[in-house]
This record gives sequence, structure tokens and C-alpha cells, in this order.
Amino acid sequence: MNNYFIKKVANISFRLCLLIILILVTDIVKSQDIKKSVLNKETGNFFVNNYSRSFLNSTAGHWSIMQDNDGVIYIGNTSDGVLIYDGQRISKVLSNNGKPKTGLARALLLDSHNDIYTSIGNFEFGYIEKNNFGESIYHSLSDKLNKKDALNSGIWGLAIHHDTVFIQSEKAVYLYKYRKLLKVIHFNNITHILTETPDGVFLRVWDMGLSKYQNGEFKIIPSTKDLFAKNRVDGVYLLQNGDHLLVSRNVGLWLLKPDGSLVKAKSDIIDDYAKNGESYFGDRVLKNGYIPMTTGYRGLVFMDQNLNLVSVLNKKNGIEDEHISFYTQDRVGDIWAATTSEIFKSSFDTSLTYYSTINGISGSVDFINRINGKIYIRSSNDLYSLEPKNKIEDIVTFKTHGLNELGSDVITFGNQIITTNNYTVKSTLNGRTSIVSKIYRSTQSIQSKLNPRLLFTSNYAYGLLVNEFKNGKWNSVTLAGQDTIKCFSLSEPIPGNIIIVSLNGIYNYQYDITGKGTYTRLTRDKKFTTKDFLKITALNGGEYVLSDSLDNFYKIDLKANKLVYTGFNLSTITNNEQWGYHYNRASGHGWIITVNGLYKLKYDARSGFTFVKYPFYKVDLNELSTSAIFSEGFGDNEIVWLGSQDNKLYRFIPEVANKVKQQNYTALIRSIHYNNEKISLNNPILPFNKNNLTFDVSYPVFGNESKTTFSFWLEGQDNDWSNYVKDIKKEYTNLHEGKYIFHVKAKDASGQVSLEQKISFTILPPWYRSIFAYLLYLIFLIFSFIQFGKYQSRKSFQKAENERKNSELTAAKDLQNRLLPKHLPNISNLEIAGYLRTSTEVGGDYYDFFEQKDGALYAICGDATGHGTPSGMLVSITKAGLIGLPRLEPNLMLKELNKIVKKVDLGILRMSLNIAYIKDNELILSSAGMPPYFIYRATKNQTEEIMISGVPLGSFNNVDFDQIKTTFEKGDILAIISDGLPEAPNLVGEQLDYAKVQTIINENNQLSPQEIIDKLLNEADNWLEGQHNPDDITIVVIKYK
Amino acid sequence: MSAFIKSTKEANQIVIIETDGYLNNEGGEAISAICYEKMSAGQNKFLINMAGTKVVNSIGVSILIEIIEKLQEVDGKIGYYNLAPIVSKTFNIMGLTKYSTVFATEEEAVSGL
Repeated sequence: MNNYFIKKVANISFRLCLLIILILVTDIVKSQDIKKSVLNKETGNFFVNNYSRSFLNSTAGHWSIMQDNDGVIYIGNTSDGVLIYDGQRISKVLSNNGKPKTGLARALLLDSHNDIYTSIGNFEFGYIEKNNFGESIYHSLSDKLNKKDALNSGIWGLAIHHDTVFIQSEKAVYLYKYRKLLKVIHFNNITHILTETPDGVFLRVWDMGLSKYQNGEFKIIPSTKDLFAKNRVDGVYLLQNGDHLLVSRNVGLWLLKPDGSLVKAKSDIIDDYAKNGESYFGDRVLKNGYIPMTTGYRGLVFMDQNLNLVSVLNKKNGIEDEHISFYTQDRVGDIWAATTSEIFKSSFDTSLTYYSTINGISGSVDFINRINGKIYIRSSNDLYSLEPKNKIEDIVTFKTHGLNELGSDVITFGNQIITTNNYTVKSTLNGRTSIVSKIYRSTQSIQSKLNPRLLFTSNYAYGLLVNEFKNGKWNSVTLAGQDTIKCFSLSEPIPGNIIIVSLNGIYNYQYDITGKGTYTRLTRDKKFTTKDFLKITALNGGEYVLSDSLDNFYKIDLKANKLVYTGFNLSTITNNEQWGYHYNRASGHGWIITVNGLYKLKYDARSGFTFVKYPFYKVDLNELSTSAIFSEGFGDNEIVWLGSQDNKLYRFIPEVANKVKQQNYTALIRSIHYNNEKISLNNPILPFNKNNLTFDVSYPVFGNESKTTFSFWLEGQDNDWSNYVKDIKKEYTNLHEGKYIFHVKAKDASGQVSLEQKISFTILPPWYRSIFAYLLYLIFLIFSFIQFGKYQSRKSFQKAENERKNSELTAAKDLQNRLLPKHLPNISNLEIAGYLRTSTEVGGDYYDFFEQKDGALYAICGDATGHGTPSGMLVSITKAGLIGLPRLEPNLMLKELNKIVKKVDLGILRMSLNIAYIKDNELILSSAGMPPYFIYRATKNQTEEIMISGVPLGSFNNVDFDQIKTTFEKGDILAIISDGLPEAPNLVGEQLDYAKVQTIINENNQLSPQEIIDKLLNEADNWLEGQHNPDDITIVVIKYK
Repeated sequence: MSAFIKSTKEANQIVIIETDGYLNNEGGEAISAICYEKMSAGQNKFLINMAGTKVVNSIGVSILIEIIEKLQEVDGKIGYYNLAPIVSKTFNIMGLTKYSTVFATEEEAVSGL
């Protein structure tokens, strides 16, 4: 072959290849275009939330909406001033007096300093500022205008450009920047509309045309003089190509070119909406480039930059009022619009749209499939097919197929649609439905892979059902022993082998082309779960696995008839709750919907599951029916359909949604209260009596805000965040003093968690726990310690003093005891006993004996005046005197002793003393103030009282004492006593008396002296009846043997 | 004035003191206080109506002895009347009757002192 030929062939081959590639690419592109076209026509409704007049607690009629930097929505009402909606509660902008500022609120604007400019009421405008308590307070600016510039009409519009605020009245525009008046521009004609685009501020003036603010003044654009001197301009938008789009209900859409020329825009549809719908307002282009146009009668119209109609929000989409006065786009990208009756919010997000009862769906959507190019859904009420919309302004509708019973799945069987229902299995072909099986409680049907004419159906009342479609008719195939396998679900991993899930276990039904076969129970792996509920899933479209309630996955080994644990688990994303899965053959991956969200799921038998979460945030996941998930398409055209239990179907385009950057917004602390008293939000320092605080919180993320939940953490008291709860108030009571930080975060209905907001506050201690108090306590403590020390010292001193006194008393008592005779005299004819009982530690009584060598005896008994230590001293003196005196007759001894005692001079202290002298039968008695002697006379068996009057020793100088001489015979008894015995008082103060003493001696004459003393003491004690005797008792008894 | 002293009065330049209660240290000092006050005012005759005194102790008697001793220095006298038997016996035991006089009634005392 020569080179030319080779080159020629190669050239032809190359061109052929190019042609083939071109044809293929064209086909693919065309296919995608068709697909895209179908998809657009299947697009569902935008999410719309209507906030009714009653919800807003306001008068019907709203004129403006604005969102501040926190996400809070402000709404200008026709008579209630400015309403504030933070997602959880409605409040109002207040006047300085704390009451709502009422009146028409025409417009709202926000500058970069977060000041909100508005007009509330007639002939007034101003700004809104938050106070320390989080309240929005209105401050007037117009009341500071001078007379020349004073308002003489209501405010018609506001616009802001580079923080310069333009406030439009009937014939003037006021320019402010950061609350300061820049200038006032007056007009001779009545102004019409004020709009702002990124290119500047425009003002239409009646009979003059459209003007633009340039170099400090509004200059009429020459090209607009003819057309717009008399015709309205309702909206001005800056297009991406630099043109300004002018919308007029009178003359339709016009383009103001950068060179100042004015040309008619070509858009018949939008012209129709503007003219016949009466365009009302528009200036801002949406973030995606779409242009909204409000109308008086045909809702909110959206066009693209080429002025093609993109969408219309009207009553068909669930909007209550099509008279739209204003719109704004919030931070999420959603559209908020004000109407003459309510406000509404629409997502305007094509990545997630929905279908509901307004589209014709009724019942819980439990199964989704695309059959013969149409989406079919099985709801709890019926089988529906999706009917695409013909025009953009239309909505998708769902056509019912009249099944009228509960059902579960929908499959194709050739060109038939098989529905497995509660009472029947039905076939639908070309719009006609016939019954395949009338057996009750079937759950799932599959077409046989071995014999495509066979239909297997699981039935939990009768067992496995087999029906055959032959010659255009359905016939039942009778199976032996079918009743033994009452089953819930089934699948056919290998032709001729159907895996059946029943209450009794998992079975492999091996059948032949007639449908008849045998059951083999599959054994369980050792690691098999004890949980009985099992679910068959065809991962990757053909890898059949079973999963238990703990979401452990098992593969089916039909050779060994076993279920083998794969080692893989999906609990991390399922939380062991219900989930639904669908494998998309077009994209090559599956989708799983769980309580945690929507995930793209891939499975590999070696490495297990990999999953990626997609931003399916706007739907309450608990609402979804997990059995209804269907996916199709690929790339940006991949669609996941999800059924809802609430009469809804969702259409989600995951890759498109994934390109929208998700933002976490911040939960808000709106206010703090102590009872009904407002607390500052600026790190308040609170007295202790305000330690019961309530925090009002909100999360301005809208759409499903009733399901927003909050979690709280009071740092300083709580250990951790609380569970998420619906409470929008958090109360803390009896907080201890200290520093706290209150944190709040929110979770929206989709489970997206917000950023947290926190606020610090301090609870001061009560006065009794303040630093000052502790200082006082310290001082008091120190003082107490000092006083205690002094007290202890004093006590120690007192104790020492008492000990010293006691010691001295003891010494004195010892001394007194020493003054008493150590031994009783031993005189042959006398029996002697003596006794002394003191009243206090040291007594004043005394007795003694002085035995003489001649056998004589001086018996002494004395009683110092009083008792105690001074008396004891007097006794000592007396004894010393007695010892020192010569042995004289008793009266002489007393005389000498008296001299001694008198000389000592102890004041009123005196010493009474009896001295008895006994020698053989002679008895001499003398007395110095002592009680009488008692002498028992044995011969007379009588006791005599012998009283000898005499003053006590120490009374007078030179006193002579009397004495009596008498006999003392055998058996006679001499008793000498101190007055403590006869004067012993009983409880009523009566004294024992001398007579009683005399009687006792007399009656006990036969007793020994000691026994007589005991008798006397016993009698005295009985008389005293337990009370203390105030005086000492001394008794001396001498008996003549 | 102490509760022990029921009343004081004067008759024929005699100070008459009526007592009520136990003639002990306090009772004795109450009598002596009046006597010494009156003595400083020139009085030197005292009568004590002891109808209300049923009990005396040694200190009470000692104080009376002290009064007697001081009256001896101013040539004064003291006497008693309306004595209970036990008081009379105590006064006798204590030798008071040797240095002062016991009367039966006030009239007898005023005239006899």
C-alpha cells in the first residue's frame, strides 16, 4: 500500500470517527436537553410560608420588610408601626415612653451602623435603635427639622446608597447620613417613586420624567421626559449588562441604556404581567440574578436577566394574597413579600421543591417509581402519576388512578404497572386497572427473573402468592405448603431463588419455571443478631443484603444456605431508626434517608459503606416516609424524590443544593427579665435579690420555625448543655452569687445546629456575704477572739482564784479540824463524845477538851458569831487563848478570854463559849452567850436545862461571867450544844427548839454519848427535811459511867 | 429604809423602832443605822418593839451589843419590848439583859427606860 492510500483511508476514517462522535455528542446533548426540559416541567412548588395578619397580631396591610444583621425580620404595617419577628415571637417597635409606636410604617432601611431608618405615623420619619434591654426604640428625626424644611406630607419612600439615606415626601427628599441631616431637596412637582440600584438612586417626578441623583441633585434623564413624564415607573433594576430595566404598568418594560437612550424591552409575557397585573414596585435584583416584580393582581413575578419569565408566586403556590407591595431577599436567599393582607416567605430554591394537596396529592406517600417516563407515587390513598406543567406559571398536577385502597409498592411488569395493595394486587395498563389477585394483605410484588410471566407476591396472611400472566390474562399458581411461609418482603438475588422474610425466619424459595418450588430455611451466623426484624436491601442495585434492627448487615450465602455477617454497620447515620435506600443506576451510587439526614451511600463488599451527607435541611426529617425514596439522573441533574407522611412529595437536586454554601446562623438572647423587670443585656451586674432570671431566646431561621429547639448552658452553674427543648424562655431561680455566662444555641427543624450566643452577668452576694460583711465578720471574729482570750484569761484567773480560795478554805478547814481534839480524853469515870458539823467549808463552832493531870477535865464548846473564815479565825484566837491561860475556874477563864478577844477587836464578831469543869463528882459550868447546858440526872431520871446568862466574848471590857457549881453523879449526862442544833429550821421556818433537845437527851439516857449525839443529829436532819442548815452544829456529850 | 424596820417614832425623847422579821446581820444593821443616826442627832434612848421579830441569830445580837457599847459611851440606854419567848430566851442566854432592859409593853418601856 502506498502512503497516499494509507493517508486517504486514515483521513476518511478520521472524518468518519469525527462524524460518529459529533452524532453521539449531539444525541447526548439533545438527550440531556430533553431531560432538563422534563425536569424543569416537573419542578415542584417553592416553599412558601404565610404569616397571616392574626399570626402577626396586626392590622391587615404591610408595606415593607427588612432583615437586620441578626436575622430578625422587621415589618412595616399600615397602622401598627413596625412589627418585629425573630422566629419565635412578635413584638413592636416602641416609642420613648415604652409604648408601641403606632401609625403607618411605609419603609424600612438598614445602614452599615445597624441603624434602621423608617417612617412611622403621619408627617414623621426617624430611626430605630436598640436599648440596653434589647428593645427597639423609635427616635424621630423629622421633629428636628427647621420650619423651612418641615414635613408637610407623609413619607412615600426610602432609599439608601452608600449609607446615605434618601427620604421621600410629596415634594421633598431629605438626605441623612448616620442620623445627621445632609440636605433637603425641594421639588415644585409631586414626586412619584424613589428607587435605589447599585448604580444610584432614581426618583420619578410627575410631569418631568425619571431623574437620577448625581452631584448633589436629582437630574432628569432627558430620554425619559417624553415617556415617563406622564407614565408611571414602578420598578428600576440594574441589569448585569449595565442597562437599567424600567418597569411601568402603563407602558411595560423599557431599557435605559448606559448612554442614556431609552429602548423598549422585548418581553411580551412580562409586559402582560406589568400592565394587566399592575406592576407596583421593584429595585433589587436577587443574588441569582433573577428580577422580582411585584404586581397588584398577579402575585410576585420573577424574570431572568434576559427578561424571560422564570416563575410566578401566586395563589396556585399557596399564597393567600396576590397584591404584593414589597419584597426583600433574606440572608438565606429566601424571598419575603408584603401584601395587603399578610406577609409570606418563599424559598425560591429550585434545588428543593415540593408537591402537596395543592398539586392533588392525598395521603402518606409511601412509594415512588418512574415508570415509562412518568413519576408514580403510591400514597396511602391512591396511585398517582405526575403530570408536568405546560407553562412556567402553572403548577405540576398529580393524576389519580382510582385504586382507592391502601398500598405499598409500584413496579412495572412489561408494560403493565403492578400495585400491591392491602386488599388486592392490581395491574394498570393504558389507564385501565384490573385485579391480579384478590387475596388480602399482600405487601410486595416482584417479577420473576427466571420466568418473566410470573409475579411473586409476599402476603403475611396467606403466604407466598404466585400469579402468571398468560395470553393477556392473570392466573393464580397454586403452591404446596404455601401457608407455612407467611411473609412480608421478598427479593430474587439469583434467578430461581427468592429470599423470603417471614416471622419464622429467612427462607430461600427455589422454584422452576412453573413457579413451584421448595423452601430452605437459611441458618444464622454465630454473630447473627437476636433481633428478629430483618430488611432486604439491594445495595448497588444487585447486592442483596439483610439488615437487622441494629443495622448490622448480612450477606446471603445460598450455597451454604446461611446469612453471613458482613462486619459492616450503619448505626452511625441511622441511630437504629427507620431508614430508606434507593440505588440510582444512572449515577452509580445509592441514597439513604435516615433520621439524621440524606446521604449519598456507596457500598463495597470489602471496605463497607462510605457516605456523604447532603444539605437536605428545609424539611422536617420526622415527616418523611422512609420507604418512599427514589433517585434518578446524574450530576447536576440527579434528582432524589422523597415521600412525606403529610400528603407531600419532595424533589431534591442534591448536587445543586450542595453548591449553595450552608451557613450557620447565631441563636439570639433577646431579653432578660427578673419577674417583670427588664434587665440590661450589657453584662449586667445584679443585686442578690434579683437572682431569679428568665432569658428570652430566639433563632431567626425561618420556614419551619415552630420546630426550632434550643439548648442552654449556664456556665457557673450547669455542667453541660441542656437537651434541646422547644422552650423559648429559660428560667433560673435562686442563683448563688458569682459570675455566670449564659449560652444558647438552637437547632432548626432539619437538625442544623446554630452558632451559640452568650452573655455574661454577675450576681452580687447578699449584704451578709459581701466583702464588706466578710470584713466585718473578720473584725468581729478578731474582736471575739480577743474577748474570748480575755474571758479565758479572766476565767483562768477566776479559776485560779477559786482554786486559791478553795485551797485556802481547805487549809482553813484543815486548820479548824486541827483545832479540834485529836483524841477524846481518856478519863476512867467519864464517857465522852464530841461532834462538829459545819454549815460552810469553814465553820464558826468549836469544841475542845483539856484533860488535867489531877483527873479534872475542861470541856469547851464554842460558837463564833456567824460562820466561815472570819469565824474560824476567831475560833483560832479563842483556842490560842485557852491554851495560853492558866487553868482557872471556868468564869475566870472566860473573863480572861474576853479580854483577849476584845483586844483583838474583830468588829461585830463575837465568840460564845461554854466552859465546863468536871472533877470527880463536881461540875462547874460557865457560859459566855452560849445555849443552856442540859444535865440528865440519873437519880431523878430527868434532864435539867441550866441557863447561864452571859455576853459573848469580845462584847465589853471587864465583863464578869457567872458560873454554877453542881454535882455530876453516876449515870448523869452533860450535853453542851451550839445554837445550830436547837435553831435548825424546818421547811416552814420553825426551829427544832431546846425542849426537843432536852427530850431527846432524856429519852436516850441509857445510850452512850456518841449514840446520843447520833440521835440528836438524826432528829435534826429529819427536822431539816433535806434542806441545808444555816448554822454549824456542835454537840459535846459527857456521861458519868 | 430597810423592810426590817416597820416604823420609827419618838416618845418622851425615846426613839422607838418597830421591827419586822429576822434579826440577823441585815436586821441588826438596819437598827444600828437608825440608832447611830439618831445618836449623832443627840438621841440616846432607844426602844425596840420586837413584836414582829420571832427569830434572832448571834450576829443580830452582836450588833445590838455593839449599839449598847456605843450607848454606854454617851450614857444612853436601849430597851426592848414585845419579845417572843424564844427571842427573850436568846437575849437572856446572850447576856443582853445584863446591859439593857426588857419590858413587857411599850408604856412600861417608855416610862421605865
